[in-house]
Amino acid sequence: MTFKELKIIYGPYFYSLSLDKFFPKILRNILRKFCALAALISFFLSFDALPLYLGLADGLFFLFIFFYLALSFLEFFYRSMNGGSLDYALTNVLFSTGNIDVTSAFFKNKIGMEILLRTGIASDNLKHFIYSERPLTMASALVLTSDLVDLVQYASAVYDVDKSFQNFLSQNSVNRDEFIGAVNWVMNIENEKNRRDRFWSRENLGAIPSIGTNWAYGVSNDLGKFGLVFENSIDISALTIENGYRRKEVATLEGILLRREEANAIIIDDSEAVARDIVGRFLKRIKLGITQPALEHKNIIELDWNSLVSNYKNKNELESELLKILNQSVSAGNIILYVRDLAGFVSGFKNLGINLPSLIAPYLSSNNLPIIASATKTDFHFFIETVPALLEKFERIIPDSLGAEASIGVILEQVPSIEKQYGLFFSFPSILALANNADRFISYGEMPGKALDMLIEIAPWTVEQKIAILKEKDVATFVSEKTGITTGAVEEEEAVKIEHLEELLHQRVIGQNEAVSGIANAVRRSRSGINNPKKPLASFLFIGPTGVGKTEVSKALAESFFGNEKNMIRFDMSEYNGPEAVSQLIGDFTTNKSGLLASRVRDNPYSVLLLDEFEKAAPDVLDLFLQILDEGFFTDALGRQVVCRNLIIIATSNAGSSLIWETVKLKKDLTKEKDNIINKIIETKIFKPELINRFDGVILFHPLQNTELESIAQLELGKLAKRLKEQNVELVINADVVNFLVEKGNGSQFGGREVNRTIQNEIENIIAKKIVSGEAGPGSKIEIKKSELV
Amino acid sequence: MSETYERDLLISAYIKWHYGQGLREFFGVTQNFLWFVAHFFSFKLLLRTLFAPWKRLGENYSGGLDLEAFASSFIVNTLMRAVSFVIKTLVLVLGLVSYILVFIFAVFVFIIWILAPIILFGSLILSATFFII
Repeated sequence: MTFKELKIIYGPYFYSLSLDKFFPKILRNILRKFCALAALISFFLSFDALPLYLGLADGLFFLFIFFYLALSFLEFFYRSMNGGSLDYALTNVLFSTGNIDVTSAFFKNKIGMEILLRTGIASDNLKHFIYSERPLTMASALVLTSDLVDLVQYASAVYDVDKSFQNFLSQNSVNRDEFIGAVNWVMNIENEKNRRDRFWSRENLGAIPSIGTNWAYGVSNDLGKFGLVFENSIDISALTIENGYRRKEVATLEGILLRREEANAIIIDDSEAVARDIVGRFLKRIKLGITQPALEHKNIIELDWNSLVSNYKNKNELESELLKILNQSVSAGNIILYVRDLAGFVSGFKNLGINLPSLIAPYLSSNNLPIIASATKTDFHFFIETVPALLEKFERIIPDSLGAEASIGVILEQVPSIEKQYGLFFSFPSILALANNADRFISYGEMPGKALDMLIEIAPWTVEQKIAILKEKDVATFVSEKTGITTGAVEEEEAVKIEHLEELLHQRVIGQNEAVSGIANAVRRSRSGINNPKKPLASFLFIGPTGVGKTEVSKALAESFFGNEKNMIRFDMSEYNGPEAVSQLIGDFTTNKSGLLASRVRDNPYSVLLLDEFEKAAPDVLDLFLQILDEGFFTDALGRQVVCRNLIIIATSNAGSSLIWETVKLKKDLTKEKDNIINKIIETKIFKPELINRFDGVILFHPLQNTELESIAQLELGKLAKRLKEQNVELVINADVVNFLVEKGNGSQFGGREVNRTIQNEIENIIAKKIVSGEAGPGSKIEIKKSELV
Repeated sequence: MSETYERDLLISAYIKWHYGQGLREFFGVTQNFLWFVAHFFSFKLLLRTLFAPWKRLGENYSGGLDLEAFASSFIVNTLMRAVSFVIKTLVLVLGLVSYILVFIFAVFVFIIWILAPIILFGSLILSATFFII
């Protein structure tokens, strides 16, 4: 289709827009109502029998009738021409578009302005662009492929053809998807508004509730006490059917409830909100009258079994009350019962010695009383799957967990009410960023629930920060405030930090250039957003003898990546080598105990997970980590998912350190021998090759050389001197002491740690003796001589 | 601007619409409103359950030869059905009246619609004659 053909199709609809331009709607309405009133008054004034008789009233009456009718016909014409079956938003845009410069025309109407706002671009920026020197795009250059063009397709055509516009958008950090997403959003809002204005449409008239629909159905007095009307617990007016969200689940639910027998469904999801959302969408379909006839006029009532159980302490009373409720519901004939947390319902009754599954079995078998239940995955597996009487009667619905992209629709549903409540404005890129960040950085819960929670959290924050239009970078700021992880575009200051990350790490770590640069590269990959979001942020296997800086590197990493070296979860894996190891880590179902690894990762989802002496862990623990490294999560014994995607996992091991020693002794290059050493480790079956391959990097730490030991000695003595200075004692660091420490470190397997230990055991002792004996006091200098050192 | 593409004048476009698309839409809207009245007064449901007991209230007769119980449940059930019948009939009559009113109104508007030029022109002439006289 060409642009010209498109304009011809939309041509008739421009009348209403030009009418709006020259004869505004408000003026038309006022005038029409005035004419109606005036005609009525002059009609009564025209009777000569009345005291207020006016001679010209007859003439005035016919004059006003004329104007009233003319204006009314004009209004009908206007309403008929205003959209209807065609895309109302596109009509607006096309109306202001001529042959030349389609791009600027795109924004010269209220729809275009709205789109601009939703992209988050300031209108001054657009003005600069419009009045800058740029090649003008002709309408004839637009490529419209489909025969049914809507605003989204039109906007894509404009975007694709105008290169300078593309540049303008990307300078304002808006890409194609974000621009088209904003267009789509505005189009849906406008068309929805237009649809609602057409009060005479069957859709709008049908939404008015009918009278007498419940006269044919019974009432359930006892259900009234323990039943909550589902409609009151969820705002179904905010839900839109058109966006197709959860369509599959709702259709399945409808299918199950239509069955001749066992018309019961159980929605299995860890979040109760997901189940309620699906039931809410189903209820909306009932209310709109678009379900199958058998489900018309049905009412969903939630059984409040908590208060039912707490109200009756006696087994028989509770049993008969429940049966009464169920019988009344059946005889009412229009009730669908919703039972939240079916497992809890069953066990609540079990505590009073009632076997609920067999008690309600007759109701579950028929379709007289359809029941919708919800359960978490764990509860379903442990409490419902094990009871055949329940399992057979309920058809399962397992809602798809959605990705960030599929969640956009449902987030947009909620945005208008939040905007209204907080007086904010969300740009479309900020919504995208919100969905992506929630998906990636919030460990607890599922999409879209996580994103919706974040939406609710970010609104008051935005008000606090006095932000009127929420943009992508604001979302990034919010997320880093909340999680401690820096996301979003790399700021200048941070860019410098990342660029010089090696130097930063070297302030704490002496030597180990390969390790430091490997880690720095991994951090850069993660910050640039090119790493795999379904895996941990980074994972390393550090191999090398003790005391060469493996732990120090991990701490430095925690500090530079998460802002604090305390953001570290540390496990000594040598403690996990028995048969109980896995249950210690992930918990035990039989004792209902939560695992250490599960709980600590849940408490600190954004941190460095340090696994010391990894090779000493039991083989099944190593298999557990095989999965964590691969998938970025594990499932604890209670069936809950623990997300490890925001962790940097570091496993240290001194397997093969004797090989490293030898290599260094023979003065061979360690980097060249790396493969050999790793092969040897695999040959000795310390680690499986697939486990080693799962790590982002295997990093060899070489034993410390004299120069490095010297630097460590200087560093550590410096720390000691600083402590002494607080007591006003000056420590002179001379070559004797440093050499002594280097010798000690060099002769030991423990490397740097030996230096530390010597400072603690020997140097500090000597100083302590001097202070105690009074040889050194406040204001004095301490110098340790070679003779004093043994 | 859009004027580069030829368009009919407003008045000729209007006349085309008035006797073409406009008339079609008028019938569509009339149908919608008639459907709405039928829907609002639940014609179908009320007719189908006209003789059903009011809100399914009633007594169950358990059988056997208990004349007193039989009589009591017979009376109660008949009463419930009677109540239901009376109320539903009232609503149905009200609905029917509304339906007829909407229909008459639609016919009235239809006549005005068809005769619009004559009515508009006539009211102008009449008004002018009154002013002159």
